[in-house]
Amino acid sequence: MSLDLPEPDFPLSDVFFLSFSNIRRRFFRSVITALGVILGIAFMAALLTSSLTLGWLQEESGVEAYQYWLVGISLIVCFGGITNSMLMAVNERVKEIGVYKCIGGLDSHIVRLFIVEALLLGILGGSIGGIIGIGMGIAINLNRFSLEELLAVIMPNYTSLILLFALCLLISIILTALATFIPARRAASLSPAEALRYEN
Amino acid sequence: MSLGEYVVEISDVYKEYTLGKIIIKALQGISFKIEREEYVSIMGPSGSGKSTIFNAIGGLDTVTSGEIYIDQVDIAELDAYELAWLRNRKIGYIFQTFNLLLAFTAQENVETPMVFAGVPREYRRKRSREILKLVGLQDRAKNKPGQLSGGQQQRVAIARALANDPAIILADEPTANLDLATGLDIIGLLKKLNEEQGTTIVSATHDLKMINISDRIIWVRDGKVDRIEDRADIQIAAIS
Repeated sequence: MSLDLPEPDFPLSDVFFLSFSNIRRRFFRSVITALGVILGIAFMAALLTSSLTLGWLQEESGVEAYQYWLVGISLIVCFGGITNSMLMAVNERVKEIGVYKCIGGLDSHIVRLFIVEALLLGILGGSIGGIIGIGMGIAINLNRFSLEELLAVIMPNYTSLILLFALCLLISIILTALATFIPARRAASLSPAEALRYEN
Repeated sequence: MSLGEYVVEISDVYKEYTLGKIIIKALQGISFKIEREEYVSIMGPSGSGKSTIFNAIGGLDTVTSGEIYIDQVDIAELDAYELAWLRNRKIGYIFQTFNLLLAFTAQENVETPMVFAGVPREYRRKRSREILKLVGLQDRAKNKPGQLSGGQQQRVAIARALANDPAIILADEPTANLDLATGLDIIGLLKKLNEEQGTTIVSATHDLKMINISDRIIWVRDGKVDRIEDRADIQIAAIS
């Protein structure tokens, strides 16, 4: 039997309104989640910046092998940190997802709500983490080089740092969205009764 | 769709699920009908299948076999989108644990079902204030659930259930987390809605306070309908 229903209507302005309210009203929890993202991104950005700067300073020797290792590890830490934060954030809210379903939220509505929330956190965490990380990456080298020397090599290469910042933002957005999408979709596909019973 | 006589018709409903290696037969052939504007209580001891019936009627969980009609629509035939539509427009839920969205104010909680229904924001505001007034919480619209007492939270939940003017309100142990006086308050409010607004109310409960105001009581035992009593019968039984 078909109920012959109109197309679902969930305007983006309402999605943003609900998501933003959720972040604002769970401010402390959101800060912790964002910190997880910020730390991961900052660690990665710091090591990449430091490697780049060292490369510019010592043109002939370039970046040493162990630094590639460090960058690889920093990426893994970043992946782990963000994924863990977002998984926790969704997992503790399965019951809330059950409530949304009871009052008529579609699976896609709920996933959209969580994705938009994750994107907002991802953009925030990525930009703050990127700025902190790049700043740290430059500051690490201050014990070996003077500020003038550093600025002298950084200024001509500032486009690389902007690209690095864009990379931080991109990784942060992709990881937060992905790490939210998978558990949110799983939770949204539970029957409302199961989601409401869920204990964490 | 014409308005039928029955809002809820369930016939021969079975629900089995496995818990580890044990098969639990929660419902074993439940059948009953509920008329429009009726106040029906489903009563029975813990584990008798009350909540399973609640979940089945509300389309919150699937059943193993049997037919469930809500407002002439067989909910087993519905896809996810139609089921969500039904939960949104046709059914209002009230739970033992209130299940409000803790991040939102009372008014926003009442608005959420209307957001999913695509109601414009201006009208949402107006309607949610009206319903909050109806349940006696007009002064608490800006409070979050954490700032409200249990009874007030349940009133918000009732207001939320009313948001899209549903055909039926389902309540699962609505008074179990409340003290005696507050429980009576909530029961009184449900009865008022039933009488003044003509809202059909089905309540799964083991709260005997509900007996006085129910039009009919469906007694459930071991996943089966034990007996169905009219209020008139109970009162006669009490007198004699």
